[in-house]
Amino acid sequence: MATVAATGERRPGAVRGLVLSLRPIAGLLRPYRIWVVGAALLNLGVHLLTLASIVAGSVLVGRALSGATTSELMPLVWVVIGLVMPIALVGWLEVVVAHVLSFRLLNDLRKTLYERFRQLAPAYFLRRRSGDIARVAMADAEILEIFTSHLAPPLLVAFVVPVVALVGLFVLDPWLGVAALPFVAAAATVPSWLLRRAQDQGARLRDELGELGGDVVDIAQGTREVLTAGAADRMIGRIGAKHRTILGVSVANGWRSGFEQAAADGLAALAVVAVVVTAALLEIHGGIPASDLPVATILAVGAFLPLTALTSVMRDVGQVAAAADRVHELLAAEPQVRDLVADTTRHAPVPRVEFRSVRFGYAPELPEVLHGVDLAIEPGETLALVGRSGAGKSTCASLLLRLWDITDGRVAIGGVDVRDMTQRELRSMMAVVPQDVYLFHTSVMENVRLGRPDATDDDVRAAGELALATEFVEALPDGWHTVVGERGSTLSGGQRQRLAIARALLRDAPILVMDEAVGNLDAESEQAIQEGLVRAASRPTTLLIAHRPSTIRIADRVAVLEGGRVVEVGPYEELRSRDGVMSRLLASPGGIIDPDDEESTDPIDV
Amino acid sequence: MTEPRALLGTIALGLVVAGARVGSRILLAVAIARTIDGGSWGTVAPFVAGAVALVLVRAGATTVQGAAMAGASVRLTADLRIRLVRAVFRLGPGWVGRQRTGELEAVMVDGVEKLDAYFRLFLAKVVTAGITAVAVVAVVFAIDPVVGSVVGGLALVLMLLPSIEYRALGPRMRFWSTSYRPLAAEFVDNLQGMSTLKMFGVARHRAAELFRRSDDLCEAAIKLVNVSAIFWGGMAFIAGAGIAAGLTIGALRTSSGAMTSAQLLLVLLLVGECFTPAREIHDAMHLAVWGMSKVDRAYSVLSTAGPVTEVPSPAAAEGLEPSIELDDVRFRYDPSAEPALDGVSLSIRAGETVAIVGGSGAGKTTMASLLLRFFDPQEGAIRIGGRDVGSMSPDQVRAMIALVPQDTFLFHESIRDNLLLANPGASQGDLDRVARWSNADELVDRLPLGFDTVVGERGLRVSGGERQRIAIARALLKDAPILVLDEATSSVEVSSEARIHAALERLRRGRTTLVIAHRLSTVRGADRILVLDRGRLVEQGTHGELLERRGRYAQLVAAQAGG
Repeated sequence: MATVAATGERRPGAVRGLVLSLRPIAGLLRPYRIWVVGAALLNLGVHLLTLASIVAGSVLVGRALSGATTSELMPLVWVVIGLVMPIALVGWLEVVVAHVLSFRLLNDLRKTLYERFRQLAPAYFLRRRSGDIARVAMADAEILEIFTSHLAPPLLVAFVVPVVALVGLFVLDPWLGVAALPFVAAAATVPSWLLRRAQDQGARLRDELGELGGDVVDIAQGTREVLTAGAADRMIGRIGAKHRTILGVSVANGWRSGFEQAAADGLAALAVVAVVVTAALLEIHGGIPASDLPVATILAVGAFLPLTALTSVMRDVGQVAAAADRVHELLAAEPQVRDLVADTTRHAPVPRVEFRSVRFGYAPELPEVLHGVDLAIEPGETLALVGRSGAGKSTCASLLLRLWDITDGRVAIGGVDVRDMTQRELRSMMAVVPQDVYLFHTSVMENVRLGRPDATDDDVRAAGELALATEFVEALPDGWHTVVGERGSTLSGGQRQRLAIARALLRDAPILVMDEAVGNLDAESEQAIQEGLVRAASRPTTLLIAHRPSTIRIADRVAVLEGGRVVEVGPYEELRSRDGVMSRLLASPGGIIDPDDEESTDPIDV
Repeated sequence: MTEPRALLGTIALGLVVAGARVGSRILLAVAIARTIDGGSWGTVAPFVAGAVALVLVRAGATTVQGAAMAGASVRLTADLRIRLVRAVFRLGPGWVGRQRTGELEAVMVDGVEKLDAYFRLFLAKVVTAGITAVAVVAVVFAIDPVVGSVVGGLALVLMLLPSIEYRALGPRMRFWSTSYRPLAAEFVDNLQGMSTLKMFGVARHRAAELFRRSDDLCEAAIKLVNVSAIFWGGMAFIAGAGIAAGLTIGALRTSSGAMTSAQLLLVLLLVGECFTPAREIHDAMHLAVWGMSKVDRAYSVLSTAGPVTEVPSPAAAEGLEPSIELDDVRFRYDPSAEPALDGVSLSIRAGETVAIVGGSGAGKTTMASLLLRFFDPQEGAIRIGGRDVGSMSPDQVRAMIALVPQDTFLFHESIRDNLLLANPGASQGDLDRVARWSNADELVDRLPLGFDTVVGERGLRVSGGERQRIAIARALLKDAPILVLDEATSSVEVSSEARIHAALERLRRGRTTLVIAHRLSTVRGADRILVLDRGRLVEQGTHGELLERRGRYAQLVAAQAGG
């Protein structure tokens, strides 16, 4: 989208274009209005004081040249020396204000992004690279921070200081002003000469770099696959090729920005030459006194100081605009699920789960996944949901958790539509063991405690015991305090699942959702854990998503999902003997994993 | 390497730019002096023309510099990044597994991208600025020794101040890398795990804690920068004082007749240039210090020793018999951890299918990792065809083995490219065949672009079962003499498990196969079953023999049968 924005509508002048591209984040700056204005004014102060000091210096020089005595020069000497300290002080203040603004703004941007992710996850992130989006959001926030606090103030200065300097030249002699004016005007337009190209190149460069970054991380994470495939050199070749593409874009961008810098510097230098020539001609013809020559020269130099700075800001405008676009897109995205009611203090509804004619598709342009699912789970009952990969089993779990809102029909708990509860209220009734376990980069203890933040260490250990996690956790270098990798990648699949199960056990909620929760466990553990979970004293209402008979058979009833509908419901034994979808699912060519028939069919097939 | 050339080129261009700038100022000062001394336009014009010429030279050099810097920085970046990727491949999956995604990112992308080239060009910048400052001070000294000494002395102080500042702030600056960066990584961690946080209703709870720490660090950073700002103010003061002193002394010496008007004009136009380079160095350093931590990390990766020792000139490994032997192998991942394998000896004949069973953490997957030389055992030896794997290169060993891992990583590219990884030369016919055998054809048919559908990072849009089928298809394409199946069907639903077993059956034919299983159904057809328990081989035999023994295996079977 960054590229579209850059090549599309944005066509105004340089400064306006920049301001427009930043408008989306203006909202974030609002609380810091005073700081932003303060930083800009201080920056202006530094530049005006500096201009005053060099002009005072040039007046001093002019007087000295025209033969003034030492005592005549002394007042000016004091002015020049007197200005040194204020410049340093205002400059110091500006640095402080700019950095305070920087840090606070970045802090705020991070929090805002966190809040947005909270509202948008997971629907918004479904079709994007997960690693990418979180990282890019954070990196973009940093770019915006640098821009607003370090690069934006020069904009104001770039407007005011040249005007002041030009006025000074006109006051000395109108011809001097006339000589400098075209150069100042031309220099001010330099950034807009190639603005469109700058934005295109900036966006392209960032996209390419983003893609390269994604690829490199992808390749690094897939090291095992790369090495087993013997593809290391091919992968390195690919990164090399990508760099060659980037080299082309980057060098083109370098020519462009180098040219802009050269044009701005060149115009500034030529303006000084023009003013010097004009002043010389005026002096030769008696138009101005010789002592004005240094002043005129210095005013011409001073007029361009901030414009040169502005050009270097504008060099990066493409990248900043692209970052602003992406952050804005995130901030403007509509959450798929939002609370429709205020927090209530009603009694928790009876944990009876009901799906009535539920229809759902992940996005309007994607095919519908559920075409009218009817399902009921009685309080304390365990219902297994079975079906082929992609039948929509996990989707049903997500809908119950209201991670998405359904398109049509009704999902209710104890007769209350889930949309009539706040998300917080709804999820406080649920414990989930998800298919993809996410472990945070913190201790095992804290990862489990996530299930119930106020649980004591002993509660956590007890839950770990029930989930059969104690043995492996205690074998870890720091036991319960071992920090596990971000995706729990130092643990095996089975170990991660045990921690997820411990989390759910700790939560002790009236409704339990298990999404292929035991797929990576060995049979022994699976059985012990299942029993522990489902037959717990509190007997949660359980939605069990599974594909193994050993898992399914502990359920009170089994519902078979096919073609986006529930096609069969009933006790496992009944469905197994009925000639329906369930028996087809079980009786596949190898005729396997039906534990009860195990002795009679194939002794190895346990 | 290109590095010294890039550096010298950048320095040369920087000097041309600075030289032209200073030169044009000198010419202008002379032109003004001649005018004031009553010279005619004819005596002034050549100097003006010279100044214009230098302006044009400078513009040209600036343009070339822009392109040259961009090119040099990409080349330097590419060079370092490729070295890093090689280092990661050398460190292997064990190392990668211990990294946080954010960290990997910081090392592989940010550390390289923003900073490395910058640092190396920073050196060029410092050299250019240093030479320019010395040259300008020398010119001013030649114009007038008194003004030159005062200005030169202050310029020297200014040049030294940044290094004093960073020596003073150094320990506190490290705060950035030890506290601030990890917090940013934690934000990313929480954003990535947001679905989990939401499911447990702790997203807000998490936020409170995270935001509080973020606020604390923000305030601490502000305090730190306040100290740094004092140095900044100090620099502004010294530069301002230097310029004021130069002009004042020059003006007073001119009025007393010790300097000519031409000399004073030169001082006016050059005195500022004495202090500009020092400020450039300071600004560059300011940015550099903040980013130092990332670069450190990248360089430390380059120098980290890999988990396997490479022999300098491995002998050819073609035609080795695919038999496997473990001889009293001991291995721990970490010196402080329990041993993952604790004295395992076994031998597998060529063409044999052996199943390894045992509970979670028994050492099954470790055994596969050692065989593939992702790690080397601390004690004992692993041999393939009688040759110690340590005497071959890891690539040679891996070329003999096809692996179907527990949790397959899918690259963010098309299914086709994901499969071709194992065998780039495979034809469409080969792909169709392995997809059918592995049951991945259902998935391929369902996806909008078939084989050309790009799968998300970590196979986001592909379910666990489907991921495994792709892994099986990959292994089928690789066609290696040894096959390692690591819990290959754990995520596959019942109905397709049978078909996959048929595929694996086909895959197994004529190969030495190691089946790592916790689902005992997957050990069907194994010639022998090895039972591991806490890193030790406790039983081996056929299914029947082991059942009869009523040991650990019988226990596992009983559990699976549902008691």
